[in-house]
Amino acid sequence: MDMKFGIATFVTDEGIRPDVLGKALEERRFDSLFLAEHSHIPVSRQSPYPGGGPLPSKYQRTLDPFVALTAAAMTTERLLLGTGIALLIQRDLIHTAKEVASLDLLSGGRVAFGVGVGWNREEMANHGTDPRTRGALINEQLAALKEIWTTDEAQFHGEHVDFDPIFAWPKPVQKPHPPIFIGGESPAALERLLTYGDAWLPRGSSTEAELRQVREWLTERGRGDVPFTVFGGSEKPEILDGFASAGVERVTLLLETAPEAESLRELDRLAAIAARHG
Amino acid sequence: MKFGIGTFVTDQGSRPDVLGKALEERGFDSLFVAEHSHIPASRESQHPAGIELPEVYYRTYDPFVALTAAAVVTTKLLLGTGVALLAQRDVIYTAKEVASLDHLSGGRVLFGVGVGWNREEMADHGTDPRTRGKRLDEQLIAIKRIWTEDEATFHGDFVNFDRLKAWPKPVAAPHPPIYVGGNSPAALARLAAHGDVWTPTAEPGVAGFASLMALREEHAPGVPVSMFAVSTKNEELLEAYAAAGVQRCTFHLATRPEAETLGKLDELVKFVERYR
Repeated sequence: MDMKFGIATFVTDEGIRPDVLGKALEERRFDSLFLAEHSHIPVSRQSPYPGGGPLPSKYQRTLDPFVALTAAAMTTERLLLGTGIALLIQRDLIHTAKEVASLDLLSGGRVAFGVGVGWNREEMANHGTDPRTRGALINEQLAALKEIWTTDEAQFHGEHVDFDPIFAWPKPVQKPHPPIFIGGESPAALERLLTYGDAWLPRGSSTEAELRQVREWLTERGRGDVPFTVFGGSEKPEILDGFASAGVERVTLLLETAPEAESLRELDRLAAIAARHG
Repeated sequence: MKFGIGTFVTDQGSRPDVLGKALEERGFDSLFVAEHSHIPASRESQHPAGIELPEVYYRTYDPFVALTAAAVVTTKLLLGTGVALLAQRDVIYTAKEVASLDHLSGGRVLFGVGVGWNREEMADHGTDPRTRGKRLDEQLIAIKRIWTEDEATFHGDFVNFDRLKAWPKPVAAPHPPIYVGGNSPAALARLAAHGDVWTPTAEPGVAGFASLMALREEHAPGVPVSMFAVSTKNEELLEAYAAAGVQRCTFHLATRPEAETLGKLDELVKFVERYR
């Protein structure tokens, strides 16, 4: 099957609007939009930026991902609406369950829920999240989310997440629930993928050999069918060919945040790259 | 006097985009959506009206998702929370949701807040029901700083953060108007200190309305009033609102499927015509 192409970006107040962007993606046959999120950026920050160097300003300017994706949902019919990634560890679980379910319902079941543990320790601390136990936290959150989405009276009793039976609708349209895309390539992330994930969202710096290795690892554990979406993939033809031959389902190309006219021109260029490989 | 609609948008009623468009077409100025994040199955807290809890309480869409859907298909409709349960929300995330919606809608957000009544619901979010009023007061100061300052800091008993950067900033200057819900003296003190508009829940008769106005004169004289959850077509009451200079009357709209909802809105339009 042909490899699909989506777009990963930061939607901010300085760039193209998300409703305009969504429509432009659908018109150019991209299948998905994955949005990054940071709730805020603490000025005093010890955590190094994984990209190296100073933190680009778009990190402190992202629109709320569910607001932005809802806007994109309203102007599209088929586009998948993804978080890439949502910082679930610093989010209120019950509110997030409702945001995802609401968007899934309004969009007719088009949500791809990408999650990760994040890197900005000061940011998560401002939400009351202990950076040291955030991996254990997200595992419980994912188990609890599925309970909220799929059962009439959900309850969960863990070390980090604990609630007695609750009623919460709407339920998502997708059954049993919107696919959970697990970000990250660490051993902990892969264990999380195995236990709680529906799809893998490795970063674009991952090599074809690494992807094949993970595929093998998953196959040995009976999850060889987990689809891969490479996040922020390279534009180089040989690398994209490698991803395709490794059975990658989708590559998301990174769209730099820019005003509308510039974004549309850039999307034309990226669509041409996708067309060569799609 | 302006007329708006307050409702619970759920998976069993009209979609919020369809509803928003229908309101704008009919000349309503605003849509206020209620929120409950969930309802705990085991609950001691009683509904303020002493009624069995209607099913809509279990089924509301996230308010910012619902209002964004309405925003994209409208150009003038004001987009309100009625009310958002800020005391059980994360203030940094909520600041961003409101600002994002305000940015996308060109400054059409009315941010209604209240302390809520469902103690078990707020407890599930880690909010102590006993101190929720104080927490909400701190949150309102903090959210304005996030919205208006390039590097926002707040250190209180319930809210704490140091020099954070967060954009987008809201379009409305200095920030979206804060509508304070609740009919108690505590709500009015909050309105006087942190609010822009009072949105009390309608009392059934003219005498009840008069006592609300007396409360306002005592605690927050001159602050604009947007009546909330008006469930009656009592003409005498509407005359009293208009005479007292009430800015807006927000009718409660029962949650129903699309066709029934549109029919009900048509009825309401005919009724309010003479007061516009």
